[in-house]
This record gives sequence, C-alpha cells and structure tokens, in this order.
Amino acid sequence: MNWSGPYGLYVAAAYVVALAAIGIEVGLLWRRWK
Amino acid sequence: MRRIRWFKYASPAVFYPAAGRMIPWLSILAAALFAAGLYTGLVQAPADFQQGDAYRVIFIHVPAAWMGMFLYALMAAYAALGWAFNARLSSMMASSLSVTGAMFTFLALVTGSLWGRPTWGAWWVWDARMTSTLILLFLYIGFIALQSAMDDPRRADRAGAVLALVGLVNVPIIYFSVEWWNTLHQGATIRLVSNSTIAPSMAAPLLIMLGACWVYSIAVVLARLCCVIREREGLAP
Repeated sequence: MNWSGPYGLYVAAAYVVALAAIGIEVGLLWRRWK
Repeated sequence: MRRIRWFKYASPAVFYPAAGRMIPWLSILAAALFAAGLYTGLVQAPADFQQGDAYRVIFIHVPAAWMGMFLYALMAAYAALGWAFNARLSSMMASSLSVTGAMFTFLALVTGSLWGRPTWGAWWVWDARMTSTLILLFLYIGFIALQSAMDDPRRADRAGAVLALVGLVNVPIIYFSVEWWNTLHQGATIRLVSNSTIAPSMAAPLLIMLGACWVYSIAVVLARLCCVIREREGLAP
C-alpha cells in the first residue's frame, strides 16, 4: 500500500472512520457495562 | 453421550453467565482476525491493475455492507420469534443487534463514498444499491428510535418487530438491486453458486475481514445483550 500515492488519503480515511465507529460503539458499550 | 438442552438457554438467567464467559475470548479472536485481515489486505495483497490502491477500501466496505444486511435479517428473525412465542430473550437479542447493524450500514455508506470519489468521481449518486442501503440505515434508526420511545419494553418489542418485519423486504432489494436495475455500483464479485471474479490474493483478506466483523458482532451483541438483561431483569453484574 502506497499511502503517499493518489489514493492513500481515501483508503486511510476509510479505515480511520471504521476504527472510530468501532471505537465509539465499544466505548459506549463499555460505559453501559460498568 | 451427554445431550445439551439448548432450550434452557432461552432463559435470560441461564444465558447471561454463559454469554459473559464467551465475550473475552470472542473479543481476543476478533482483534486477532482484524489484525490479520488488515495486514494481508493493506500490506500483502497486490495493487489492482486498474484501480491501484483505491480498491483496498473493499476490505472494510464489503464486510460492512454484508454485515449490515445479515444483521438486519437476523434482527427481524429474532424480533419475529420474540413476538410470535413471547420469548423475551429473542426480543432483547433483536434490540442488541440493531445498534451494531446500524453501525455497519453507516460504515458501508461512508467507506463506499470514500471509494466512489476516486473511482467514479462522485461522493454519492442516487443509484439503486446506495439508495436502498441508505433506506436500510433509516430502518435501523427507526427501529432503535421506536424502541427507545416506549417505556414498556414488551410494547416496544412488539412495535419494533412489526417495523423490522416490514423493513425486511428491503434486504433482497439491496442484494439484487445491481441485477434488477442498471446501476453505477458494480455487480457481485464473490458468488456462492458460481465462480467468483476476485483473485485469491484479494479474496483471502476479504474473507478474513468478514470473519473478523462476524466475531466482533457476536462479541458486542452478546455484551449489549448482557446489559439489556441486567437492566430489564434486574440481574446483578
């Protein structure tokens, strides 16, 4: 994967959004669990 | 041979400790599968000859879209079971599935947009696949909002079940939209009944990421279900 290539930013953004969505779901669940 | 009496797990009090024991192991397995999927997808898999590296969004976009559809069908099935047999664990399972399904559908739409911009030249088009997936997200949001709006959980379960079953018609529409209509979105790449049109070096990370999304979903849905059981049945944590 060439992150500095023309598509690097789009691919990086997709995985950052995925990580954020999973992080928010797990975070909210953790708060409810405790 | 010792037989497992599966029906005893329909009781929230029996199901709760069993689910609690599974969650840590499923979380570890999901994390390992995500790490393996990301490594094989972003490091090992070759670039596409036409799209270059832009295609690598597929490793999160396709599993997220599949999960959005599968979890909706599963949610509708559990909601229907809970409604038909007055099985409260099934209704609680439907509520627990809705949030994760909505998250994956949202993720499919956003990652699809991030893939569409470099390949189609547009963030969004009102094409049949994308529009029906957006409707799926609205159905999830409607289900969650409807359940949250009612104080009586049994009434909320029944109302949610009606909405989930009516909305179920949208799932085959999403799946077959690329065949029924002339859409900008490409057709199916991985097929169960005929040859897939994806190289094995790209299919492997896709399947690993799909496995990761499945195990992650089971872990978070079970954890949410435990929270719902605690809140509704008053069980001690």
